[in-house]
Amino acid sequence: MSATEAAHPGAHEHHDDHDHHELSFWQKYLFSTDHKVIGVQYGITSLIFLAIGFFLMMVMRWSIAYPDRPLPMVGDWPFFNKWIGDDGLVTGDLYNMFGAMHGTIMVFLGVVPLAFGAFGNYVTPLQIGAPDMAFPRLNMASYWLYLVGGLMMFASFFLDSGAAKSGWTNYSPLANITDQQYRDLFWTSQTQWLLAMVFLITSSLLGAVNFITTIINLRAKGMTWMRLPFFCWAQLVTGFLLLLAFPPLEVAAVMQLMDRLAGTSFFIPTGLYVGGQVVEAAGGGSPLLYQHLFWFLGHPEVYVLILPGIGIVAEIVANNTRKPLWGYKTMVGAVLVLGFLSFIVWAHHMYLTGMGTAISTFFQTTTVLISVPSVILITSILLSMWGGSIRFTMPMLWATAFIPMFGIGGLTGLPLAFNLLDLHLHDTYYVIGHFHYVVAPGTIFALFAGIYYWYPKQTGRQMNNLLGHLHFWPSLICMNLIFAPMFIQGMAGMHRRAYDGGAAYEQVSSQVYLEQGHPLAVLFNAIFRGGEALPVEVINLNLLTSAGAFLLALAQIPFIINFFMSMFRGAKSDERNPWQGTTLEWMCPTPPPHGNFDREPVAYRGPYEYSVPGAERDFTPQFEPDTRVTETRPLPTLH
Amino acid sequence: MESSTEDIQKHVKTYLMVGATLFVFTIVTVLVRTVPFFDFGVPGVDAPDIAFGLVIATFKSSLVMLIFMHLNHERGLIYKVLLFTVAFAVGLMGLTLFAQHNPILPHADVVDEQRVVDFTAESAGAEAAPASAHVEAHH
Amino acid sequence: MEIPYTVSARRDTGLYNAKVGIWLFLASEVMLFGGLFSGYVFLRAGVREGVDLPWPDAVYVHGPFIWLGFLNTLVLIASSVFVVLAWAQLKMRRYGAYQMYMSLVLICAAAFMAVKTIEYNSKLNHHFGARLTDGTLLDGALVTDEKHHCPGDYVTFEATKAVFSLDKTGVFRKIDPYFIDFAVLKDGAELAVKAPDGKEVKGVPELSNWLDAYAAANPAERRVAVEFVKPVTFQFRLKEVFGKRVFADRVPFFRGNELQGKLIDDTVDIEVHTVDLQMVRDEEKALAWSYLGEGFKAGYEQHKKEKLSDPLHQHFLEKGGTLPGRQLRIWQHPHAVAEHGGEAEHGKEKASDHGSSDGHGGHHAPVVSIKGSDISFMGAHGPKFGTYYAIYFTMTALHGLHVIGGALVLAYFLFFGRKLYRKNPEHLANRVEVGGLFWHFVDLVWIFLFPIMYLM
Repeated sequence: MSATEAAHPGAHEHHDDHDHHELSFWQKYLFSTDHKVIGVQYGITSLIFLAIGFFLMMVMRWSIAYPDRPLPMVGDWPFFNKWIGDDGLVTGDLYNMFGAMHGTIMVFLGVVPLAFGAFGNYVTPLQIGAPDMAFPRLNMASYWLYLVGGLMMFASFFLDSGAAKSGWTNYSPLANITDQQYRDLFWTSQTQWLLAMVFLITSSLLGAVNFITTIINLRAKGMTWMRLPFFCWAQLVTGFLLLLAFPPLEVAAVMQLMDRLAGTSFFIPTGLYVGGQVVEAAGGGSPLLYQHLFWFLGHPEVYVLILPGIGIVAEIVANNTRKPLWGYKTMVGAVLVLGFLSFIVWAHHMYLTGMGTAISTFFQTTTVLISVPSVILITSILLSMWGGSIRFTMPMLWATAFIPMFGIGGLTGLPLAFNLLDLHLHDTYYVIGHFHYVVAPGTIFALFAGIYYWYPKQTGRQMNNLLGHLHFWPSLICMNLIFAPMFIQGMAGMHRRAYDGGAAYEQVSSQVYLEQGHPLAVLFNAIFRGGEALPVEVINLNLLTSAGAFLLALAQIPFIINFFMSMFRGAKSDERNPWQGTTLEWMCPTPPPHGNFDREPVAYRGPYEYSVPGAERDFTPQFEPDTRVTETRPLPTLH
Repeated sequence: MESSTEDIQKHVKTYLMVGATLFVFTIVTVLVRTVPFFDFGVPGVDAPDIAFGLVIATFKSSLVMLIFMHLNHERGLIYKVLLFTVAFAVGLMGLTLFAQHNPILPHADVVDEQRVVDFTAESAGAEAAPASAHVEAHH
Repeated sequence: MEIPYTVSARRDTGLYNAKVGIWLFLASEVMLFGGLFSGYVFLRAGVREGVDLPWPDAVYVHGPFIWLGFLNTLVLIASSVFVVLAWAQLKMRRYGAYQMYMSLVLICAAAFMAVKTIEYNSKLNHHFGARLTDGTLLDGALVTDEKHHCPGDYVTFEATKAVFSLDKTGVFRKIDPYFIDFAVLKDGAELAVKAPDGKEVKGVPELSNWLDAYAAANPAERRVAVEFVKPVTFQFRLKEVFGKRVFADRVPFFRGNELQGKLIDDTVDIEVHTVDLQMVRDEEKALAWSYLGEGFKAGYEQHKKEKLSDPLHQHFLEKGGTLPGRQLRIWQHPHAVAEHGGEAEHGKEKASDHGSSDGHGGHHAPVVSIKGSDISFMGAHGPKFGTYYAIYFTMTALHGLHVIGGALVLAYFLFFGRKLYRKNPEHLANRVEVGGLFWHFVDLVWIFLFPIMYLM
């Protein structure tokens, strides 16, 4: 069977007559089934949610840094009126609510939809040479379910009971028994959180089915598995993670809903006391069951957050070093192994539950194992840069910064993999620092890189370079200002859920300090003490972190300006291939029309043929017919 | 898979046979648990009963998957997906159970004995159940 | 623009798009039910003897429902055969036969849901149990009569004082003395309260207005106590009470509202069919006997003795096995079985291999009036009655939702398939195959659910 024979046999036997009608405005931009429009919808919605999540975080950071000062600026808003104390201070309730919702919004409504929904939707079909997703209407349904879930989540802030307050993990039995003071448990925070999650999970499942089907079945002629761009591999594995890891969370959500609304005791142990009374329930349930079901999703979810990011970075690094990706096949193998292993590491989040040493050892082993493929991925990307004549374009800057930031996040995770160390570090700021390094300066940097990289494809214009630098450098500095001190605080034992940032324990925490020569102490003294050389108590690092957070907000302003301004004023780059890329998305017109390609896309070679010896240019696109070879190579079958 | 009318006719016979087999095995499962004469071990449910019921259910479900869902005609891709899915589902069930009942170092049982709640004293109030789980009232 | 492989299969994967999609979806469904089954195993294996409610013997719990479950299994298997036959007819391009088989599938689906409804109705509306504070479980049916205005878990309380929360934590919230609305005033008594300032307020809306005005005038106060002009008797359901718990001198409601006075009556009348002493430390002094009397105690002892002398048990003991103690400590009152066994409308009968004759007379199952203070937990045999019931209802209900969803899709193919059939019969056959795959999966889940929930 040759590549030509494997051409779409079913392509012409069925005509879909909807496509030939003129589409109305609504069909084109709102209820569109075009994967690119849906990708942009996902992108804009998730960016808005990221901003909301960021805002919640700033309120929390204010409370942590200045637990004794009233909330500035926003304290007068009707919403805050309801929740802050008479003295204008952030209350524990408000902090809990914002903490839980910050996590929820960032993970489920921000980063995953941006990485998987937006970039996956927009780029994947283009890169594999497909006219659209396999199920366009399902794709639209997926976006609308996500939006409904997101709006429900957001609306829950304005309920009588406020939004969910039991942490983004919603551990039972705490999450079961909240809001007992309300008669109608349906319209309370936790119930609405669960219902919204059911929507979001359904949306993710539909998305995952669609993505995997598209990648499996709609690859263009000649696009064999080993010619698939690495980004698509990352999306494929991400799809499988979502597909198989989300259902157990759905189970947990349904069980918690039953506990709250139908009075079951899935997660309520016998003899649970709340407020001096035995809870009125049959008992016999297990809070541990919830944790197992939650983290069975929770850990693959971490890789759902990071894999698309790594995919984006791999694309950009190959493009800007003008070299093939180092060890492409190894990376593909690594990402598959990573996907597999991520399903059997979940209980390293649960060492402190007293599962027993045997099972802890098992999970400790798998967790350490999973660092191997992660390191392979990062090392391959790093080695790809070795000896390249790197173009430090805007996307490349972000991608370059991603590598050390993700590296810090990953390496600081290793101590947490070990049972013994985790017992000390569990639920401290160390954990926060660790996973935020992975997700915030890690994934989000990769996502910014992706935005700068593919922006010209949609708009035909480049984003402004100066504003880009104004966005990048302050962001890089602030991210580290925020998260680096957390490692120190965490190792000193600062607990992550204290809404006053540990001020109540100042008697204890003031005993732990940094020597005046410590770089962070020097920085702190320079900013907050006019250069006086004094030791710095770890609790004071809260000021540094919070200052970093507020500055980070300012650093996003150039991006927002850039994003909108460049649409109209950006330097024109209406050629199809502004970055001299090799993958198929650079073959279609800019912006890609409905149906994507104006001639049939065919992949003649691997995805990263940069600087091929003897070639005229330093890039040989996948879609460029090989003139020297008269016969096309046979198309291998799937297995 | 084949699509000529004769082939399909042949399949139809298989489908009917499989349906009849499923009926028979369902009846067997029920008989074993409801008629004392067929019961294994002690009257009532015990390990052999459970094992027997699960084996029959697994057999029935493989018939459904292979014949009704045409898995016997499918190629590798679906098998791969299902293999991993089943592996993860078994992992979820097995590992959670392993975390609950540690077969290597069963120290968890020792903890449980201390957590016995005295029901006769429950109505007396909070101090009656000293070792039960405490959760702060949450507002 | 056309999306390739919507009808014909791609050469190298051998699949058309929808088939890839449905198998992926089924994989995620496997994980969904895998998670639920994991929950089942985890909860069942996690039952701590003497601490948690014992996992009930499904045969005992279900009794006659085993046959309903059995019937449902056959119905689903038949529907699975029909759906694959419907597909085969389409492949042979026989639209009429396809329509017939597909209709049979839908009839099976409707029959399945009908049987399910009967089962749920019986469990939720006819069965009732109460766990007493010493661990005794009295199972049977709830008795409601004219005397009690609210059927079920009602409370009668004579209130002399009411405390209202003035706590408005939100700008959007009014003060809510809601319990005044639902709590039924006995004998149409009039509600009149004496405010702290000595003013008299009459009627519910007036009281509500007065509270709002009072809260506005006294922003610092969190609660206000008012006295009733003369004691008022309230009746209400326990579920409207905060924590579902009342005290001898006060009843706490949600949001910090409270009635103070004297508890008149919180007894519950139960027709006892089964006495279950598995959780009781000392069977001799079980609370059950203080309600049922010595005659029943003797019957229970007799039942235990007979069980122990059962040759099968003996045989097992000789082989060194340990006796499953819980079966000995569940006693089905024979008269309850005799009286109600034949009444189809109640559906209360149990499999009566536990029943044995004893010398106790009487023609009706005993009805006992249990004091509220003796009850630690009670309710219909709904999801809240224990983790077994919880997982039973959750899993069967989710499975039922799958049945409904699948039936809707197949009904769509049946009633709106003709147009597509004329245009491209293979496309319709593919759709039916995909819908059928889902339907088989639903059947497959039930193949496991039935033995696990009804037989083990």
